[in-house]
Amino acid sequence: MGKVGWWLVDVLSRALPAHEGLAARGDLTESAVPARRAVREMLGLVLRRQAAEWARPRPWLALLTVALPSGILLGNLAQFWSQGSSAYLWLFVTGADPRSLNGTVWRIGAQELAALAPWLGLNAVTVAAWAWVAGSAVRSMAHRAILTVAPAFLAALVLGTMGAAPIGGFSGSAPSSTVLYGVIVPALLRVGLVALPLLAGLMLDSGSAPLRRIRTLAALTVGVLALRALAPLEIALLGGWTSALVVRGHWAFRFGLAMLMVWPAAYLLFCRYSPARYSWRPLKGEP
Amino acid sequence: MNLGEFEFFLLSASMRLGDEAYGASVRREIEDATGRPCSIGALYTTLARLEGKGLVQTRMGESTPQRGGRPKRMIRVTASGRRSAAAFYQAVQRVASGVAWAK
Repeated sequence: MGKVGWWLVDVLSRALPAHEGLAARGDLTESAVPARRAVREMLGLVLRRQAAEWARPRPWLALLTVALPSGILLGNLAQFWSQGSSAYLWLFVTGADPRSLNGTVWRIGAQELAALAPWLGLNAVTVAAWAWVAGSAVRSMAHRAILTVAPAFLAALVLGTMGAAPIGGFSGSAPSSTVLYGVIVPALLRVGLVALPLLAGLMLDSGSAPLRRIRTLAALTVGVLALRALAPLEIALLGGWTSALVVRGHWAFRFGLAMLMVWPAAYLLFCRYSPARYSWRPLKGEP
Repeated sequence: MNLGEFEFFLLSASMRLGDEAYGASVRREIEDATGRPCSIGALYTTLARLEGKGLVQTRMGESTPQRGGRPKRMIRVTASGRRSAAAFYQAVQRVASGVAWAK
């Protein structure tokens, strides 16, 4: 097991608070235990720590207010958005007649095609920013329990994706009959612009200055989505570019969804401007 | 404050080691004294619990080549920790008083 075992110990130690991970790793090195036992012991410490974290409110807050609702909603909208974007890409690339999409919710007039590219780009940025912000918010709320909250978030995302399959009439459309635009492009869009930003938000320490600034921008971008709750105003101000993300239904339902979307961004912005109280405090003597 | 058996071991080992009390040394001390393996997981979670109760204080100490350049987590038993350990030990002595194996 040797080197691989110690590499695994290093990986596991990163799931602990930095000072504790270093100290525990140093203790194992000093004790000269075999790699197999070192892995078992570090895993035991990580699991005990994760379990202990669930006695605090933060992991529950992250799970119940962001990971589960945002995961399901994001998965659902990502499926819808990726299929629509794939259909429009198919129109652009193949030069097909826009009327081919008439049987779907993505039907579009020939004269509207020119305005489509920036609109698609904005939606892509919005979805990616939302995924990243939701991941960052979960990490910020419960970074010490991230090993247990993150899989729950990803499971909710997959669940939301599976539940969205019949939306929009994509399955009967012309682009869906090709492997490239029916399967590969939507999957690539979901992985590249939803799953990867989400994982980056969950796993990367976004406390460094440049990332913090980008995160603030992303949070503001997602904040724009709150305008979904005020659809007429949004259309007046922004030309309805988020309309592809609108889930139709009662206004209270739409308002609730908009609040769910904006909550991670609001939380991050709140933490951004009150860092001292909500950041992790080092031990005495720790640099 | 009430203590568990392992908490008492950890406090006693840390007291005995004094300024040299840190994760690996306390672990060695407990294993030598009890003849049982002491896992890092049990050690650090108990340490966190004791710190939460105010019975020990920890700080990051020096790093050595034997540790691959990683720092030690130094442990100091507080006055409250000393009182709790003493009370636990006295309770054990009282409850075992007159019992065959305590003679």
